[in-house]
Amino acid sequence: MPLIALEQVTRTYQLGATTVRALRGIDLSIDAGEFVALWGPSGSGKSTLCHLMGLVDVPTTGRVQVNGRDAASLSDDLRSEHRNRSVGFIFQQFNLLPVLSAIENVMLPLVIRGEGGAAVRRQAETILGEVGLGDCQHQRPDQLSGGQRQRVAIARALVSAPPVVIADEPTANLDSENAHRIVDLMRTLQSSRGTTFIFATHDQRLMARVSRRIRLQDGVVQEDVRNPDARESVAGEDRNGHGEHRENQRTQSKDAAPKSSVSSSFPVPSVANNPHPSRTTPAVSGPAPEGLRPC
Amino acid sequence: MLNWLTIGGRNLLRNKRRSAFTIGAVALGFAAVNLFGGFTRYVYSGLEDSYVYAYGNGHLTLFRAGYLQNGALHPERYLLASNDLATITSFLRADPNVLYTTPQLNLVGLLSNGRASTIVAAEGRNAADTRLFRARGRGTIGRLTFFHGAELDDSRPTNVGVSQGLANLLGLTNSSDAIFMATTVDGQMNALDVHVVQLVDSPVEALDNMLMSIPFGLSQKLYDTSGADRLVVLLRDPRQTAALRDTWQAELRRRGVAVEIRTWEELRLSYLKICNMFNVLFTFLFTIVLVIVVLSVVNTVGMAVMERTREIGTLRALGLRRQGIVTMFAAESLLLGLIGSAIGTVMTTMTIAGVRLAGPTWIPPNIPVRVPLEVHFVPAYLVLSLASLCLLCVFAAVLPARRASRMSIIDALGHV
Repeated sequence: MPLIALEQVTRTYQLGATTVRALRGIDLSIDAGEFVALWGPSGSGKSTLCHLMGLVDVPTTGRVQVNGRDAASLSDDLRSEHRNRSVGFIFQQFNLLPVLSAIENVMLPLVIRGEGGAAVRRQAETILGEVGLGDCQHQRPDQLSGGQRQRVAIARALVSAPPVVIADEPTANLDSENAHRIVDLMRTLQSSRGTTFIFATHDQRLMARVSRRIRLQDGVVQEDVRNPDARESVAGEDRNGHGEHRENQRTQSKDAAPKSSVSSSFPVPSVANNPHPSRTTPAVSGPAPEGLRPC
Repeated sequence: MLNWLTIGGRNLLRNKRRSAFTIGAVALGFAAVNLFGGFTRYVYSGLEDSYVYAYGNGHLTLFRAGYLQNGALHPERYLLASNDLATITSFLRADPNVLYTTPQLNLVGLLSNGRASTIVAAEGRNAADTRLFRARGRGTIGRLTFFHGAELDDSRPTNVGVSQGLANLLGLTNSSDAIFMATTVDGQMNALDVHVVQLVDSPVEALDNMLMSIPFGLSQKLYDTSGADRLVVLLRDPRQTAALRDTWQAELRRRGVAVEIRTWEELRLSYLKICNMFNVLFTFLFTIVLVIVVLSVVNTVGMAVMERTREIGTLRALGLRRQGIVTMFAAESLLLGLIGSAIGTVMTTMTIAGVRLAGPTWIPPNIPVRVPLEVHFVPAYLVLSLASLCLLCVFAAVLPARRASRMSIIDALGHV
């Protein structure tokens, strides 16, 4: 059973007198442990797709299923609970609460869940250490660089050990160097924790690091490619996205979008086998990725 | 520990000026309500104390049954005879709630300076008992005297006091002689020479041209009776007034003495009117304060919602429920109320201390002399205002917070 499945999903917005068809009949399924990039030009529907998969939005038509359950059957409170327990969000603008320190921002999903105390703080400290910000715990977002803020956001997304992390243009506000580091960090965490990562980007240079890339254009899936040779580390590699292995490619027409669920032999850690990796697996071993220097 | 109150507190510090303005509005409102409440409480207690203690009217007054209905036309039929007085006094003095009892006999007669006469209403009181009553008055009341001149003396029954207006009318001073005429119980005219020793400040303007204060012995002598028209009781605990009235009335009836008992509030009708007036003013002020506080909080929370729309979207995306958003803003608003009330308590306390230090004086209603103006510190009002203002702050935040919680998450996240 796929982690997330979309069936003939459309999303239409009304902007004044104009009707914007952001998604036009998407069929897609994401399996546990995948590292997926949604890419395409601005306005192609990447963010809308992220929102629908993260249950922050509802489709105009079609069906979104999470763990086999139809999202439309969930009340607002249940959808909130699902987002809190099963989805980690990383935003383009980082969206950290400015009144909270780095560690408090990381603790936030757990506080929302009603947890508190020393255990929560320790959990946040651990994950901050994993993203290389162990020394920046008490700094407020305005005291951190863009890359550091995004790492705090990643830590926040991962602190509750969700099965899936959805990142909407997580590197858009970062320079090229930091963008690569962030993607590498996500890739490393995905490998070590088995978390499913889905991120939207329009930066083709990052494609070499994803295990699956889904190209969107005008609200339809144009291409869905597995890349079993995706690199997990940036060290010593060029960052132009060369050397990808196109295993599977499909093109959808705008009007009839065929189901683009792809099976792959690419081995990925399974969340199902380790539902709380942060509690059972040690922090990323070895030195922090290049550039993840302390404050 | 990170919780919504901590987050709320930090959010309040984000826009210090706006938060300070709202907290200031709450604090000022809190202080205004409590200071006015403290002032009204002072007025109420001043009215009670002046009537009960300073004027010697006691907490409860016992009349022969029917006196209040028919006594004005036939006072002689409704007097408490000396044996009744003895029975009642003996009964009352056995009650540990009773501090003092004293008989009184009021008369209507004529006062003459030898050239002109005018109708007077004379209050015949035991001078020593009156002083005992007065001495029991709380604070300033215990030291207040509403006359100029000498105290009345039971051993000099012809020494009397007359109101200022009456003295002016008849050209009397506090050393003048006059003739006081009244009818006896049998309807015979009786006249006695009296000596004015005090000029009395009338509590009511309407009585200023006709009020006399005379020793109880003189009123009995003029009326040619050994009885009294009322028996006044001072209680140890004023809160027992109503309960004791009912108990005594039943018990005395059982003993064969038909009396009707009135509390001081029932006899002092102006007290209730004044209280009602101040209550209306208090309600009016409280309403204005509440409206100001509500508008301030709605404005503050409304602005916060607008400025923090993206944060609301983020929190919702992270899984905070709609109710959680409302709780977050309600917590902030509650903090505004709590901090404002705390500052308001300090302002109230300091103002009360300042008033005590400055010691301003004024002439309150129904008290004819200048007395110190006080503002009472009323803990019950503090608690009540704290609870109502904090509740109001929370309720005022709910409306904008509910609106915020129902925003589309996508729209909120995209808000700039």
